[in-house]
Amino acid sequence: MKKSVRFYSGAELVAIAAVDAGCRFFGGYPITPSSEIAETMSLMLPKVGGTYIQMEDEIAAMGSIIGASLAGEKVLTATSGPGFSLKQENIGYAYMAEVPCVICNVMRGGPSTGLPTALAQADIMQAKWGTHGDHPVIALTPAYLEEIYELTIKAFNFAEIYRMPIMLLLDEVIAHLSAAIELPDKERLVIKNRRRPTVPPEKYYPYDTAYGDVPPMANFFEGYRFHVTGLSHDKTGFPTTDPEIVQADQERHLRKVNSKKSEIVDYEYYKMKDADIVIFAYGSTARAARVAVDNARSLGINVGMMRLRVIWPLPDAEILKLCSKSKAIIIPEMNMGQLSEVIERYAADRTKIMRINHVGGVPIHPTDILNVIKEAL
Amino acid sequence: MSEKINIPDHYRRWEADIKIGKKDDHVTIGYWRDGCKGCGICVDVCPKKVWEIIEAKDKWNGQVVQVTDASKCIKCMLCEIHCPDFCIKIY
Amino acid sequence: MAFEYEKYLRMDKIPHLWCPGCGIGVVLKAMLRAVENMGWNKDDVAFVSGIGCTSRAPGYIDCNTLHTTHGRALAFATGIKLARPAKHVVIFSGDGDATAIGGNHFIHACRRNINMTLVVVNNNTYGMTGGQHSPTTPIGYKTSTTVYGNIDPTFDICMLARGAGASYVARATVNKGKQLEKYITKGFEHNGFSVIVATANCHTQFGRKNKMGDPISARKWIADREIPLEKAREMKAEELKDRVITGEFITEEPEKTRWDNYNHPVHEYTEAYQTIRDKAQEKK
Repeated sequence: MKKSVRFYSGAELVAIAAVDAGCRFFGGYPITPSSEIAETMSLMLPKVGGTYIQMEDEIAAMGSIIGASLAGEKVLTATSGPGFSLKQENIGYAYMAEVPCVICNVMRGGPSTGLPTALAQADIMQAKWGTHGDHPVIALTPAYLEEIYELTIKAFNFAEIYRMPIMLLLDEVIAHLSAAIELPDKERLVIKNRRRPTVPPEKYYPYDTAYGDVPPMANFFEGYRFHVTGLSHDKTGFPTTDPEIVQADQERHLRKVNSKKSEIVDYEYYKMKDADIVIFAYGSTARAARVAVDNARSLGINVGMMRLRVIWPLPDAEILKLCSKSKAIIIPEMNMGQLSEVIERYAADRTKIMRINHVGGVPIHPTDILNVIKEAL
Repeated sequence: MSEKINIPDHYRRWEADIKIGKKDDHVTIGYWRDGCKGCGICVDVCPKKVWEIIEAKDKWNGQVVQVTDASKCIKCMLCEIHCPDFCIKIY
Repeated sequence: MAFEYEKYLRMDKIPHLWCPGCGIGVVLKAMLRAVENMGWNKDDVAFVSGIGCTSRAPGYIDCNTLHTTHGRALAFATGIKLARPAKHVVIFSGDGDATAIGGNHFIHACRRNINMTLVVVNNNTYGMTGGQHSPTTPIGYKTSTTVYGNIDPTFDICMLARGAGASYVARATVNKGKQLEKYITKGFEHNGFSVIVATANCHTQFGRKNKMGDPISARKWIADREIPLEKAREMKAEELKDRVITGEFITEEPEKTRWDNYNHPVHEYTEAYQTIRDKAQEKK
């Protein structure tokens, strides 16, 4: 079979993978450094009968994809830090109403307008706690171009399986990086679609837990005529203030992800076999960390790396294991320690957590990490 | 005129033979007391004073309405159209 | 002959939560009669709302119904309509919802001229949150946040819609349910973005603070200020201060020769997008 190898940027790969996953609707708003995703979608979607629309603002972009998803499409929006902040209102709505959608956030420096053209990993916590109230969260952090394709497909699958918004967190460097890569064989992709109701309309409830924690989802205009609201609701979809129902519903939302953690968590070990110093990294910083590991190994230092491909939820058991068996955990991040703070809690005083926090907008250099490895000895 | 009268059993009913212009007609007024919030709009919009407000201790604002004289009805439908609570049916 | 509202309602949700005499019920009824006039299948209609008293309306309608976030109904509706252009999307909104927090979505939905109908129930206040002043509270009137009298100038929602590019714009008051029904029906028939403003009473919040705390006097306040467009055209601006101008501001056949129509009407958006798809697929 003819292999298709060509230059792709990270942003293009998000769009290509989205279309391959079945995405047929994109609602967006221009923002650096994510605009290339919108541009590629505007090119690709009409070709496959889909729809691209540039909305009047980030809030509307998020609203439009929720609407299209309820009508039955797989949907994507792309944004960056400040736009991600604006989207939070309707992201919360999508959690509450359980509407599948994928939000790609190409992270840049913040707070506020911050560093529009420079990289950062500034929204790790915003991806988890950006909107008000409690909700489950799944966020993916690809580090390589091939992985952007793979994890974008996965993000769509998660959205459909768990009926919720999924965060795809890129940063400026990998979104704008171009390289020759070979796309996977489309025939062999595993594509998931939302579970559809099997009952007739008169027996259908949009949030019927009789079918498990993720209720089957009917689309608009298919005869089911159900109600969707952002208010706390019962299984019929209508508002309720019954404390027991609200409590149970919130617990179910969290359980959707918590009970399936083992299927969702995704990480990679690099040279970890005999490592007593561990670098814990994600996204583009993991690329520098990998070089640092190689360099340290050539100096005879037993260092390895644990890299998160899915940053939320965290692989609890593995992190705890790491904490008890390693001398030090080094966490390089392009923020002031958003993940480090969480890992410090896992570590308690079992191991030493060493942070590398760069927020100046330039990548963390392998040497910066190597220096900390030497300090850890 | 033979039209199907669709007034649920739990509605109150008033009927009368009426004249609209010179034409003989018959009116059936259906009224859903449980749904009525006693706003009085029907009383206000009716040009023939068919409706009146009466005391109702079980309602939070203490009032509902009733038909005083169905024979005065001219089927202008104003009360039905302007009842905000889906409580009036005129046939 | 009585209208069978039951056909379009989720009767287990009725009586609704609105105050006795609330204008929203009257507008909802006019809208349901308009749906009947169109002969639409209930499965093919989506009713979308934002937040506020009006936003509860879709919950009572036995169609595909969506109660969204404050001001964002048009954004959600745009997504639905673009994904399923053959279906009917109706948005039910209030004055604060549509023109304050949702002002941006409002003007851009008008500009796109996408084939949806927006019904704005204008009661001059934020009813659900306790009667604060809205972009349509007349100057001088009291609300819970303008206790000394409102100084904020008002939007004329119809003029705003017209200026932004909506291709059917009309206004009627809750005192004239039949006229409302007619305009909403025409909005449904119209191929483009249509805005119907229903001037309504909120005696509970707005009225009580302005000496019209019951539905009858609040409705009278509206009736007294109503002036048909034909008459208004003959009047001077100062005579029209505080008046409610009713009628069709833009009809299906816009006065193309009028100088201020140079920018619109434009194409209907979903049709235009289909030409984009055709173009993109030709190239392939």
